[in-house]
Amino acid sequence: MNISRLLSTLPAWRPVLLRRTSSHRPRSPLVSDHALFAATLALGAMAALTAVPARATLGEDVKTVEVDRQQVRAAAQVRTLSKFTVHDLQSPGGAIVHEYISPAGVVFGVSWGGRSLPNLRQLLGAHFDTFTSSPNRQEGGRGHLVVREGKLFVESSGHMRSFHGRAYLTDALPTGVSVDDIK
Amino acid sequence: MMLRGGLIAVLAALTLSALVVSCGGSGGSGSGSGSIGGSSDPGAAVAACEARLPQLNTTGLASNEASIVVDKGPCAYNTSTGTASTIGSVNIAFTSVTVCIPGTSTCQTIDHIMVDTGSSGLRIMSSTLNSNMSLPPVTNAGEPLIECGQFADGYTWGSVRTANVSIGGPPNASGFFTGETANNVNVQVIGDASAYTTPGACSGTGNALNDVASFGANGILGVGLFVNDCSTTTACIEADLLSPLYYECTANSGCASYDAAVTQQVSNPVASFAADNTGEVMNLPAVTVASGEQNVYGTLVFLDVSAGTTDISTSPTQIYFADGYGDFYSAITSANDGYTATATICSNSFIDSGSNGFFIPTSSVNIPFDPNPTPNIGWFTPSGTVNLTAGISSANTTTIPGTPQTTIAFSIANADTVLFPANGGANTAFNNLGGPSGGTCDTTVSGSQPANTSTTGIDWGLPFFFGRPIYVALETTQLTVSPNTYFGPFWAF
Repeated sequence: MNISRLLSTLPAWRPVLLRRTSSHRPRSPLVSDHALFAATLALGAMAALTAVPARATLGEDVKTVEVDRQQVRAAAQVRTLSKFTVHDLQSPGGAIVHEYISPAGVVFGVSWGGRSLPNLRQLLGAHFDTFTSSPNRQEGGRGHLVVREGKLFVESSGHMRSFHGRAYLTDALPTGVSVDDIK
Repeated sequence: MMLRGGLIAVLAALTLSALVVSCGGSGGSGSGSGSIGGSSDPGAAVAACEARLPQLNTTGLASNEASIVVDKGPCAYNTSTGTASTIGSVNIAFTSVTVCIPGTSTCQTIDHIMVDTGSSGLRIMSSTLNSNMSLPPVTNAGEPLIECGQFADGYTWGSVRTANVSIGGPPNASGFFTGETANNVNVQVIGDASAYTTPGACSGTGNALNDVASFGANGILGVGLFVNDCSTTTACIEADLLSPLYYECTANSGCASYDAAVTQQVSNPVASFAADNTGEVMNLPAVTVASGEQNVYGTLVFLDVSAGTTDISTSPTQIYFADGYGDFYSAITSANDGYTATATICSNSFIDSGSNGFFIPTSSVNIPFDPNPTPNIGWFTPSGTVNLTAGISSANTTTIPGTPQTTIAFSIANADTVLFPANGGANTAFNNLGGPSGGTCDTTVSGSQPANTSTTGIDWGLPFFFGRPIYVALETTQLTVSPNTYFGPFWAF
């Protein structure tokens, strides 16, 4: 799983490569405290890792999820439900990503909520380009976007400080699972 | 934003420089005016577009009143008419602002600035700024701060700069507005940071909205519930986010995410006005024609909500508190005409003039929608007009958890009947357009709902504003109506 894998690689090198620290220029006062949280789990940081090859999430195999889940610390939880499994990743500030895993081990959906948008290139993997280029989209002003392209559905809603959305593959939903189960 | 086609984008690209001049002036004032560049066909198309655009109604406005208009949007966006993909904006309200370089008399009025109660801060397309409008950059250790501004439909990449922003009243002889002024306020200049490669973390959030053609406006005026766009009390802390908002960029090493301090973030100009600085009321008349109206005019009136207003002070029960994320509770409670409402509590609902319809989770009502790119993708297409009711309540409701306090009645019409091809797509203001959004709501909520769940909300877009004055009270509001004190952020209507 892309997010988790990236997170697991963060603490060793992220403060040096990705962030300008107070050691060489002034920072806002809260940054240093915050760096401790970042070392534990920083969902936001995943987005900055442009140098790391993107690994697809949606439609991918669960094996990467499991490996990364074990490497991510307490902020990741796994809920096993009757028809699927949900991996919950939560940042220190409460932003959240849910990843829905089918019994066959396929990531069939993701959802998110937070003060900013997630890195959908990471979450959607190979489906990201379809998401951005599809003409089958409704852009309802600044607060609403729905893309329905073949088996891919992406639904984005919200405004600055509060974004919510989900993405799923209709052909990957486990038997008996409704899109409304992706919350 | 929902209706545009490749033709528009092509025309916009071809004519961008001309559009800067022709569309940069304030309606009716002549400011920023100039001849339309060139005699090429795109220029002619722009001229034809200019002739079609309505002007703001600024005559007789008080200094705290700004004129707003619902029309087809700037000419870079709507140079053609007559097909579904080129009819321009639907249900978007625009105004004009005057931007000045602080400490100078160098100013420019820019029209077709989208009015957005869902965001905070002024954002301007760099392509609309005159060449002499070099606004001073906001820096850290001498290096510029660039923002990845984010909206549900995409991102804006551009520098944070400082400006004096004025709005309201009739324009002066120079075409500049002077009614209310925010001095030295941070704005975003969209599309001026091409020297720095957009970080993958920013471009990964979706589609770029870095020009007029993709944004559908010359800029956006965020007059939402909050003072700053990220955090009013602390730095914009990256680890609290799913992707960074602010970056510090250098020529040699590119851009690194940056925790912008409170004073470095893009900020709501209203909060920086000398007076009338805790909110505003957005007034738009009712739209009474089912098939819409061509143009609708209204006002944005800036207020000190803390000082009380006749409307709110005499009826404080009209107040609906938002949570710290700008959301409150809504639920669809009924639908007729054979459709079924499911009254789950959508705890991340919001009132957003920057959205152009009623956007309702599919789990709340089962109205069908147009699934195809043409004519009206995504909009609800019920067999007839559906009458619905919704319950709404404050986000921090604790006395009756999750129980809606007020009933809202509204209608959803078939977009294929009223939007396009109705009237050849000439109309821009509709009170009956909506569409399905994703996600689900909750069967129960208790007290203040954490907003950082993926639970979705009902998006009460511009149709909600028609015939319903909406007060926006900033987070700085403290309104006392004895014996109670009401603290922002809240809406009232």
